[in-house]
Amino acid sequence: MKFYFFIFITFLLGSCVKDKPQEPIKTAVSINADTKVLVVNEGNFGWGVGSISLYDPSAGAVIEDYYKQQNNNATLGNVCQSITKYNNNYYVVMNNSNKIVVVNSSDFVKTATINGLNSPRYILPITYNKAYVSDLYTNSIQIVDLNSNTISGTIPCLNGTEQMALIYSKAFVTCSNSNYCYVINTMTDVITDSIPVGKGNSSICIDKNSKVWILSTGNSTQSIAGKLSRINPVTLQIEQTLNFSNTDSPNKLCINKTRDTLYYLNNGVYQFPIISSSLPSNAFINQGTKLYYGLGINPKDYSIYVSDAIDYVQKSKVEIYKPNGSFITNFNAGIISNGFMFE
Amino acid sequence: MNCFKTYTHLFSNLLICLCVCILINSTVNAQTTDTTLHQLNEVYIIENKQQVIEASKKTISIDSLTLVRYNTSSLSDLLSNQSAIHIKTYGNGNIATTSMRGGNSNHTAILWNGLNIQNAMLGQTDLSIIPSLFFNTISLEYGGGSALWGSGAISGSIHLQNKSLFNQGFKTQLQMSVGSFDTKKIATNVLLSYKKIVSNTKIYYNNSANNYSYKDTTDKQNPDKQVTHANYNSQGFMQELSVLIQPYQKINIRAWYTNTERNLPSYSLLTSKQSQEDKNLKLNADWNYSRRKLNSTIRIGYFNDQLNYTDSSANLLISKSKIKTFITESDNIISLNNHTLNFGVNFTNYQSNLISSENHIESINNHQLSKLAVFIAYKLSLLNSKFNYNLSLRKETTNQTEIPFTGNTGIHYQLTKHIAAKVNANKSYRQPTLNDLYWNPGGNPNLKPEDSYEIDGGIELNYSKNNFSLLMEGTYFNRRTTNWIIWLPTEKSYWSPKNVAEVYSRGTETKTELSYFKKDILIKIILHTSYVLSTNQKATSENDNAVGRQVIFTPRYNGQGTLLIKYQNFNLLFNNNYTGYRFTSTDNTSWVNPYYITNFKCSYNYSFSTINTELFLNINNLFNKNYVIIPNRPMPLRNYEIGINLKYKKKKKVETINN
Repeated sequence: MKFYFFIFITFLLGSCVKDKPQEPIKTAVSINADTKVLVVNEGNFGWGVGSISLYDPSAGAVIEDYYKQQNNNATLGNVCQSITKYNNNYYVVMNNSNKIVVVNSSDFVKTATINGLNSPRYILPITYNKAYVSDLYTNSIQIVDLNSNTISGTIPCLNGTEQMALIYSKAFVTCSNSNYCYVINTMTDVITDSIPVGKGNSSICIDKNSKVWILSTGNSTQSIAGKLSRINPVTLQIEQTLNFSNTDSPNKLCINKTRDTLYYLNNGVYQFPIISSSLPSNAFINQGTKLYYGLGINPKDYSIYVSDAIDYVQKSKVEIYKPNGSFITNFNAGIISNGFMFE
Repeated sequence: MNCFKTYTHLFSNLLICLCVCILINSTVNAQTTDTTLHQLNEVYIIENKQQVIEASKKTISIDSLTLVRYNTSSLSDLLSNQSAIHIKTYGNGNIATTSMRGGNSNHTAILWNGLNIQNAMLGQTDLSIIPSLFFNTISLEYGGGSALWGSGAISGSIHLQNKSLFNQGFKTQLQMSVGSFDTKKIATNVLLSYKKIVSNTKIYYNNSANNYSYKDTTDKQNPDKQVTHANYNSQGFMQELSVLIQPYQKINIRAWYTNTERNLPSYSLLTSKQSQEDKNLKLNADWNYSRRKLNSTIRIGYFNDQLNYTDSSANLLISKSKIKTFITESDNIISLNNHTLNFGVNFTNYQSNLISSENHIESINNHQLSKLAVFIAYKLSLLNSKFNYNLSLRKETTNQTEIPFTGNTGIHYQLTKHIAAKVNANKSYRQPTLNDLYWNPGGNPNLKPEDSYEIDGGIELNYSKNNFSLLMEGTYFNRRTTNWIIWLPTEKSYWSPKNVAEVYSRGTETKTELSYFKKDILIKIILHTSYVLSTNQKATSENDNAVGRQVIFTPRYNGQGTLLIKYQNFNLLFNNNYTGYRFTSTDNTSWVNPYYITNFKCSYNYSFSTINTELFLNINNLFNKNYVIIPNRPMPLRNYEIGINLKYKKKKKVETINN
């Protein structure tokens, strides 16, 4: 009898292994480091785990949730979409939390919140106190007053608006739900033109010749090919269109510091000099079994930052490559890293 | 050491309760009244295939005294409180699914009178929309059981059963309750039970504003918040009809209908505009012939499950999914002395229809899947039934993919009068869901079924002396699941399922039941614990850091203790639950905290001639703990339910039981 009890108790105690997971070790990163890289981590949809990681390339050190560390363990919110620096502030756009968190650029401490948005994606500062906010679900662009941090107006526009760029008092707004990108006169806040740049247009860059480049993803399930278009911002004419194959899904257009070479993701990292007349056929950096999701080019040293979202439910691996495409190092950022801001 | 704390916590709570009840016991003078505690010893007749192999497997049946206390609850509330399986709940009244032995929700089969009711499109069943009051018995079978139940029974099966008792006379019940968050519940049960015919009707209606408050731990300035847009409305009925054609021939017909309308809350600043409506119709008829050595049953089932989801936030998103299931099964048992042979065939056909639209642009997807299964099981009993051996095999074929042979074999051996040992091994599988195969875009029609190999064994101790009885069971299991389907992002803009993961699950489970029964008092302590390690064994890509890590949303520790007291007309249930850390990222770098929840239920009965009135009070989350099961999905703080249950019973003249 006792023997069986003994066996039974062993069963019970056999279950006792420490359950509490290990908290991440906090690494001290000097905020005043010359070069710092902010990584935008979307976090899983609905879980409220969007974050910003801070990386110091000289020391190779990372603060995984920089906002949390600088703001008394407060969390940013749900799905962190983008970050923009302006007027000594960072504007962190929280897509699913329907807000923009304004933080001081020196210490990353929250100073204000812009509420009342629906599904904000990107913010484009226009003047000292005016910015546009694109939106995934609302049929308008929101005008934000940067002094009061409130919505001051709207510009009716099809939903699905994404990245924006400002040149010659014109704001170019990409729209993933449309075949067109839109042009807003920033003096009057009215859409004056639309340009047929293709289905799923969502990323935009301006090159050294002041030409606007828009990348549209297409739709591989509907066999609609993606396009890379060059627009003259004065005449609003498409000067060049380069077509992808209809099985491709190009996205995340970026430009280097000298603004003469474009980079994008398309199952690997691709490099495209703006003077080129055809799309590159081979990847500059092969993806292999990885899943590249975010891309950025460091203006300091032309190094290429690309994030592997892996399975979307673990920390992303950010890989850094030399301008010639050779691997330098990697580090862990937050969940679903989608982009970078270099300082 | 954390778990030591948990155990001691559990034990100390139970001990306090035990002391309290002893006090009550000594202060109230004992009276001899006719209680319904006496149970007739059932003659053990093998009448369904579950009984052929159940001796060698771990099974837990929800105590009937416990079950009655959850009359106003959903199956998800009952199972999260009364079993050590993990129920993933997205908030009060919101979607709830199971995780058993380190598996996913689609690894637990849900069987209603032996028919698999799991939604073949989603691969899972929402337990929050199934009312507990529909069933006479609810039991859990641990471990793989595809050899008996087919696809999906990888980590366990939940059995929901209706049993018709003849010759009980006329009984009726009306139950009403009100509770926190503006919750109103009403249910009625009418039983007409005669010598040759039984009709049982159960109807319920639940309505709740469900606007509960919670503490938002991420918002230091305004932590007090309230869940909005979570109200629900649910109604339904279960009609059973049993006819005894001849003493050896019986027909059962059952109809189940539930309709649940819910608003789904969003926990961001913006008001949610999401809602969901579930309509479930399930019909089941069986004909049973039982004479001499043959027990033969023909079962048919027709299920129509509809789920309509609407999100009008910006783009009007509507998804209407409908799945029809037809099942025909012939199940035969031949018993010859020590041998029992079971064999039969099962034909199942699924027809799915999905209409999804965005801004009135509609897409329609229709699919169907047919399955034919042949199964055979054998049981050998030796040494006065002290030694039982079983072997069962099942082969299925579909019009979609090749399905492997599944099988189960086990031994149950009564070592001494009090101690028994059991060991069981099985090979089980899960068919990819219709969404896995055909979802547009991303569905992968080339998916293979998931395979699992499991071995488990345990020791069971059964001891009773005077008025005490003790039952203890310790189980160890070890399972490997290959071809585990996960949805992964692709180079395209959508996700697609692949047979990539390999999961190794192992752990221990205990079950302890201590009861004391004397005259008009019954005290019962039930304790279940489980420790499950369920780890990913294979990297899905170069940078994957999930190998050797616990599968997400699968707690390693789970414990549950219940104290039940029935004293004369007074009933008390005190329930404690502990769920350990659950990881939310596959590399196990983020997690949600454990929770320890206590629930209290009591009732008091009194009779006016033929009408029996029961007053009941339920206090959930007694110690007002702030907790979440899924991140960002708060659960309610302390909440109450108070109600009355009126029972009328017209006794039949005493006749000889004719069954």
